[in-house]
Formats: sequence, structure tokens, C-alpha cells
Amino acid sequence: MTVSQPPVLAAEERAWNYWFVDGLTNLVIGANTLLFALCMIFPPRWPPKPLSIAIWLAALIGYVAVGANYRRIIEWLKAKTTYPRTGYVQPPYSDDPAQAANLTTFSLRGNDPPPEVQLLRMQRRTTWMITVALAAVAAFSSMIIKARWGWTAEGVLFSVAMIIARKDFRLSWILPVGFPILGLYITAFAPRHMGPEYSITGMGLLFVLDGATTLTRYILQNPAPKVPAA
Amino acid sequence: MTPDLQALATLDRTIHEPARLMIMTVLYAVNEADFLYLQRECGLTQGNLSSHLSKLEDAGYVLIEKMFKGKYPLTVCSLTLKGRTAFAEYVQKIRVVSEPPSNGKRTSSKSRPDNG
Repeated sequence: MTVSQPPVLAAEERAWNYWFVDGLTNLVIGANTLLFALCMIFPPRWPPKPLSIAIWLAALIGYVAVGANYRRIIEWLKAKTTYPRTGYVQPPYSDDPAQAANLTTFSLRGNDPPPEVQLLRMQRRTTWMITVALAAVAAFSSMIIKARWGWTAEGVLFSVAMIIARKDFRLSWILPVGFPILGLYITAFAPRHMGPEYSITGMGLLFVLDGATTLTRYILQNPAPKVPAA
Repeated sequence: MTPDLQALATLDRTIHEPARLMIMTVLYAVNEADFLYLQRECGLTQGNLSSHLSKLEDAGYVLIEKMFKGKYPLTVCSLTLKGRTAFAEYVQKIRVVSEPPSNGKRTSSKSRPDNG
């Protein structure tokens, strides 16, 4: 038997990945991005059109509501889908104050997590920061570069960010492959003034596609139990 | 008995049992996990897991709570502070046993650096 990593580290990593195992996170991110895209597509204009205003307002309220309750929505969806199938685990990065208090007390006693676990958490944080930085650069590049190829550059940068994120976050290849294609499509076919709308809508669709694919695969691999677990 | 071997004799027997060691390892790495997750992670039967969890609970290492996530009932297990400390001490002892001797010489457990 070959041991690739210490069992505590492996258990921590599986618990971390478990949050992303069902694709619900990306599905909700995608849906929320699409709501934001709706806000961009139907901005309030003069003279006001009732239907346009209603869609914009509904999308805006939906976007803010989903953004504010992101974690609660995912937990609710997981309670219906994931927990009955494969169980519940609170991820190690949880910000639950009760749990944090317990861990803080534990740390004060000098019993920090093993060094390898601390190293893994540090690496994960670094990956996350690099991903966010690259995504920010990609978003700014599309604002600064006025040429049409700016959208392709944005797509490639987002793709690189997703490839880096895949190291620690469970993402399919749909996002890294999809972003450059989206960038090329906007460069080639989108009306010049509609670039941001196409970009945000495309991003939302990619995240929804990624989440839906992962969720379908998860449900097929883990059919619902006949008898609910006690 | 040599001091090196003495460390082995003081291993916590509650944790040392393989199934309980698996449970403690999983719970040490997370904040809390439910019965089903533990069962799948450790590959234990319901009865087996239940009995080992009871022993860990009796030792004061594991806290078992019934809770709801939405309408779904969960039996959630987490390590207590006592359990975390006991597991950390257990791992420390096992590490000392498996550490290679420095500079090709055997050293006693007292003279070894503390690796935390």
C-alpha cells in the first residue's frame, strides 16, 4: 500500500472538497451572475418602460438577496440533495463562531493543527488570492483595453485563473476551456457596445453549466437512499 | 523497559483501536461531521460505527448531537477539547516511535526535539 499523504491531511482535503462535490456552489454563483447580467441588459432608461423597469428591479432584488444569503441558500440546497445521499461535514474553513471559539481555545493551549495541515491551508489561501488577483486583472483589462481583442485577453486570463483554482477547488474543465471561447465569441460576434453584457451573461452560463454537469454526475453516482438516515 | 518502549505502553488504548483511530482522524481534520459522512469515510457498518462512537463519547473525546439541516435530521459528531488534546498527544507519541535516529545514532525520547 502506498501512502501519498498523512491521513489527517487527506481527511482535511476530502472535507474541503466535499463542499464543492455536488456543484451547487457553482450553480448558485452562475445563477446570481445571470441575475446581474439581467440588470445590465435592462438598465433603467428614459422614457421608462414598465416591463423593462420591472425586470431590472426583480433581477436587482434577486441578485442582492442571493448574494446576501449565498451560504444559507447552498446549505438549504445541500440539505435537500447532498446530506441525505453522502452525509454532512462542516468544512474546516467554517466561520461558525461557536466552532471558531472551540478551535481558538484549542490553539491557545498550544495544540495547533499539525504543520502539514497548516501548510495545506496556507497553500489554499495563496491559490485563492492568486485566482482573485488574476480575475481582477482580467476584469480591469476588458475595461482598459478598448480594442475588440481585449475580450479574448480577458477570456484567456480568466481561464488561467480557473486552471490555478482547479489545484484546490473542485472545478470541471468547462470553465478553463469555456472562458477563452467566450472571449473569442465576443471579439468576433458581439456588438461593440454590448461586450460587458455578453461577457457577464456568458460567465453566468458557464458557471451554471459547470454546476449542473457536476450536480448531474453527483446525483447519478449517489442515488437517493430509500430509508432516510436517522 | 527502555524509555522508547515505555512511550508505546502509554498509548491511549481508546484511540489506538483501528476503527476509533479512523474516526478520530476524520473528526480531528474537520469541525463536525454527521453519522453518514463518518460511515462512508471510515467504511464501517452502522452498528460498528455506533458502538465505537459510544466508546469515544464515554471517554469524553466525542460530542454527539442531534440537529436539523432544513428538515433533514442529522446525528452530528465533533471532537471535544479533551478529544483533540488526546489525539494530538497520541500522534506525538506515534511520531516519536517512528522517527529515524538522528546522525545514525539512536537517541532516547527525552533527548529528541519536540516537533509539536
